[in-house]
Amino acid sequence: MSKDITKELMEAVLSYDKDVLANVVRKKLEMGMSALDVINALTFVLRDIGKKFEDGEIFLAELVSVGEIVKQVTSEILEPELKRAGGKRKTLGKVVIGTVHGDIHDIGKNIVASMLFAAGFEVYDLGADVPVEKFIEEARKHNADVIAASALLTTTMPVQKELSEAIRKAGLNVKYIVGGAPVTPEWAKEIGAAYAPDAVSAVEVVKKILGVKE
Amino acid sequence: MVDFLLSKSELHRIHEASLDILEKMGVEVKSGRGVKILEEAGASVDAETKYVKIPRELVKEALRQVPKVCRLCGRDPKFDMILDGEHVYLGTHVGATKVIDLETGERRDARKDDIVKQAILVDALEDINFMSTSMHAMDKPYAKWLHDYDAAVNNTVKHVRLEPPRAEEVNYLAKMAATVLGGEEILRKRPILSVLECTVSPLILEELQTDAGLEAAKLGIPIHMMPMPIIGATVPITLAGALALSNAQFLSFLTIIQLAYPGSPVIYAWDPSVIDMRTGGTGTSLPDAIRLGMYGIQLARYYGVPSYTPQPSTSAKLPDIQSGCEKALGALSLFLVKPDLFACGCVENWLTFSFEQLLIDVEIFRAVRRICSKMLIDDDTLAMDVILKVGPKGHFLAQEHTRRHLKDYWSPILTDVTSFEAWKARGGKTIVEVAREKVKKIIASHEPKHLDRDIKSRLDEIIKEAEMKKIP
Repeated sequence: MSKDITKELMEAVLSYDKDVLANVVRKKLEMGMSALDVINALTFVLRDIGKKFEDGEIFLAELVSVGEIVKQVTSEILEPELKRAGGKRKTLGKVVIGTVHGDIHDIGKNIVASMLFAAGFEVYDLGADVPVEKFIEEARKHNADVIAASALLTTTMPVQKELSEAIRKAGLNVKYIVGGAPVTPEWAKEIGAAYAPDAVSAVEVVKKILGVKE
Repeated sequence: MVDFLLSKSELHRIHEASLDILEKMGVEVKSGRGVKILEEAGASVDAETKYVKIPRELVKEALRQVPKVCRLCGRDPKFDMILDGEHVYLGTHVGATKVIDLETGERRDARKDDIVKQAILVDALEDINFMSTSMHAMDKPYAKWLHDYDAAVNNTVKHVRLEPPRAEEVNYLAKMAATVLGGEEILRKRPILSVLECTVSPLILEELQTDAGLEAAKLGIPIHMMPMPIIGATVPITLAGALALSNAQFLSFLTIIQLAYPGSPVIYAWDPSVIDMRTGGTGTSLPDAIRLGMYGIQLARYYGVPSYTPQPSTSAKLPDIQSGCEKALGALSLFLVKPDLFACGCVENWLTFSFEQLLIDVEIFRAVRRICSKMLIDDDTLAMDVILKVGPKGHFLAQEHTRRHLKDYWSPILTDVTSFEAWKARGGKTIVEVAREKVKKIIASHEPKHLDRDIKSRLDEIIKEAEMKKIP
């Protein structure tokens, strides 16, 4: 990958301005670079950003901001272009994520979604208060590799168990991971799910259960 | 002098900003009943967003309706608390699902017998004025909140507060409290039970908690309304904005309750935290969380509404130096703005209860109360007589004046000030070890005044009924 391209994209990304990034991306496409190549370059940049966060060089708010603008530019410009060209994007895997039914706390889930996206996963964020059936439906629709379910309340934790049973019943070939403040490794084990105690480790755990090596 | 607190005009500006938020943006009310109450009073529901826009006059009327003084009663009237802005009480916080086991030191799921122990401890300690069921009976598959209350009310005569998640639990708890008192009407006059309900930032009134609040108000049970803003994540990173936004949430909840049941007792609770921009964790006693909590209590006092802080709080995982520092800072800072209620005993923000920490917190709180007490100057305290009597080279230990004032003397219950050798001779224990021993001793020796047997069996029946219905 050309160093110049990644450097340019990195600068654009670190402006935290969607229009700046969109302009750079459009320019690259106009210059004849394929959408797939731009996406790959952006993924490379995102991983670097993820590393910067891990190293404490940038803050969470900056990481999430980068995730947001890259997501927007990808879905608004790059994916349509990729579709037109008949290409297919390669990601680390597809994750369907949401906060379970009855629970509207989603800041933790949002952070996990951002981090997974920044790490190179294709993320389908279903939001909060998501019924079990919706998780199943969306996982099927997107052919997901992972279902991730968050719960902040002791009253909504049982829904994580219902979801586990629903996944089994539906016969989906997906990995299941749970999180949220009251959730423990013991609970996750009991319901047959993987567990991550926080957003940073969620990325590592998802990579591990999918056998992603870098 | 303390010159970093908010002035009246600054508080007014925050108040106006909150009213603007509710009037212009509105709040997402997930409770159908809540929406209806607001709509019937003149609020408008945005056709597109469904947000409920609340005219400022409605909010102002709610602030006029809410009682400025509230009484939280104990099973024994000796432990009644008057929330009038003049008293400061210490209790325990709600919400933990874990406990640090007193014997093994392991962090595990809490059980009903842990709540029993907590209640005995609360009952025994004279510096603790009320009991929140800090833990949750995770060993009970059904009717958890009822079991929580059962464990508490049977083992302490002090006021009990819970955080029931739905109207159904509120109703059952009220039934239990009324059984203890001998009637629903007595519960209205003597609320031995209060409930804490949260709002979700930004600007969401959740369905179940809003309906639980309405049920409590219907029954005359005081409601602690608690925004839990995460600074930088669910509210702005700047504290003025965080304050205005969180306050708007409280005001919207308050308005629904006062419209439905005018004059319902409400306590304004503040549980802010700061997101750690390096890890995504949240701290309830990082400086800005403490600051927002202070300003929040100032707002409550500006409105004249009774207030609650879950300080002293800590993000430490167990009683250690971090917990000691954070708790001392939180307690002292909040004491400056004088909320009616404080809470102690939890670590890991609100997730885990520690018996040892509870006793250490009591020590911290006693110290803070002492530090913030006014020094009295009169002839007796100036002690000229005894100074002249002792003169140079003497001492004051054997003076009648000293003995007479021992009743106001502040004596530590845990803090060690002895020599190294004396400390070593007693086993060289840390404050946590000393606290653990003391706690065990209190739990083993204190005899709480249990409920009469027939009342207890009626509570058991109520619990059984709820368990049959398989409520959570």
